Amino acid sequence: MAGSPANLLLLPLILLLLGTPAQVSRDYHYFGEKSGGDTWEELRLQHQEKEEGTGGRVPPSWPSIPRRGGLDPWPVGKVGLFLRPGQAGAQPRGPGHSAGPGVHGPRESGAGAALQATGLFILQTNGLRLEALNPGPMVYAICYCPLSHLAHLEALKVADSKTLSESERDRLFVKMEEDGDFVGWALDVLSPNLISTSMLGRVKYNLNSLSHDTATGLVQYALDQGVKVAQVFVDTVGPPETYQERLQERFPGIEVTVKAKADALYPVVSAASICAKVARDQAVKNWHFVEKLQDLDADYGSGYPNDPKTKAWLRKHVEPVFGFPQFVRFSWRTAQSILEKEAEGVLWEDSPTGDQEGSGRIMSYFSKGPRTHPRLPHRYFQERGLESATTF
Amino acid sequence: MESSDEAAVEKCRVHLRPGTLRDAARATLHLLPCEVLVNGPAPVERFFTPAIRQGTDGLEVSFRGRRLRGEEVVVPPGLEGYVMVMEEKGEVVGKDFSEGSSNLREEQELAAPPEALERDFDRFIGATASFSRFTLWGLETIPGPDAKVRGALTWPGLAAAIHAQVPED
Repeated sequence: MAGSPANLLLLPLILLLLGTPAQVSRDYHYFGEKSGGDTWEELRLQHQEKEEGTGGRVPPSWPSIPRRGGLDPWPVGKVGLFLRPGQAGAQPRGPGHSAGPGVHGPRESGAGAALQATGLFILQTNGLRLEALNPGPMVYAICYCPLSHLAHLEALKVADSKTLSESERDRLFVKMEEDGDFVGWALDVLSPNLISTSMLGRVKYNLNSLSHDTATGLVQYALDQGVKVAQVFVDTVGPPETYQERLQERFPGIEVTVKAKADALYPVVSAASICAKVARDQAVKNWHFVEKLQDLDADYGSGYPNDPKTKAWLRKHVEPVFGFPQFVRFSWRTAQSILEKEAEGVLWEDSPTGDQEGSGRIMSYFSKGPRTHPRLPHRYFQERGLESATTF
Repeated sequence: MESSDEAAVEKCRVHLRPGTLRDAARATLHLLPCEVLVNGPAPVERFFTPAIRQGTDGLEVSFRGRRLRGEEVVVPPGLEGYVMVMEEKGEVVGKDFSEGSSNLREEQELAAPPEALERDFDRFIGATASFSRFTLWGLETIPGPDAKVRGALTWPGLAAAIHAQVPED
């Protein structure tokens, strides 16, 4: 009894804490206007305009994309990579098409409708996985398959993408594409620049939250596309327990399973991992650099932090003032430590100031010596950052 | 070093090279919300300029993985912006008036002090570029009307006003 007033006092605090992360994620909603200004986002908008301009449901040809050296830029955000059967490369595709943006639904046009008509009760299984390598974008993939067809998916012998060679992955990807009547997938490609600017923002948006929000967005996206989701299997980012709780809370009607190494445990997650890896490889291979770079070395290595090739590439491409091209995630620890050693220092207005300065100030109150700080100029000048020039 | 301001100040006599003001080429300038701890040329045209995007409300770019938002600032009417560079100390003697340019005479007349030049005392400053506008960048937010540098640009006008002769009534 005596504890209850205290509990009452605590409750609003807890609610506040719960409320804060949600607010942060709303600020960085990736599919919205917040990602505007990003190169890939810009390109996506260009496609959209062009496609809307055609008026028809299906444009006569692929939208013309600015090309340099035959490279296709890769879209970012909720834009799909649409792979036509038998075609090993993916193309960006805007919204307004059969399966909608981001999703290559089970087969071409009207697939969603067909599903709804024949199988309102068809249960689907979802798998989700991310590829978090650097340099390059982060690719999140979702794969879905009717429960009744899970055996077919297993029969394709999909496996954890890391255990497969590039050609095996490509082959499996094409295979899934051919079996489009029971496998669907969607991707969310986050540009490295988007990740850097979020993680290094004044309000830090960490990679786990970013991953969780992107995953949530993709599941919601599948639901919006009319996929009847019954189960979701997710490869974890961070502690699986809290992640699972979060997703379960968000999708109460779906059975959520979050596990480490889910890509090795569940075929549908393996399939998603293949989609993500194939897409990322394509994106990296065909990267359209914003910068005008000279002597660019295309051998980035695997992108894993322990790959000496990746590190060597990063070291070779350090620019003393600008750091790296936007192809690299600046927030990545490996990239940051290379910058610390090989690039010029940069101080931001929100950079933590050294403790020495602070303690120096405190100590100055006790020192007997002359005042260490010169007389400050008038507030008018201080507010405008003006100082008398004594040296040039 | 900064704490002992007065001791650190080295006295010198600065001479302006007026010819450089006339010939200064227009420069595209960016004022970043950070301090790069080095002075020198940087490949702005290759790394920075192509990455600038026109967003729905202002310019956007990223620098070192941080998002910047920018806007154009126009130098107030009646003023002209110059990028001034101080010549190295050693350059005073020997090089100063021997440049074979057409404005040699004029420069000599305008800039040459009556006294003889002293190696470590007389220094020359000249413009390398001029500007009438620049891009002001803020960290994640548009700098807006309250930006320090906008305030700073009001000082020349105020200075002129407070130093002007007050007409007697």
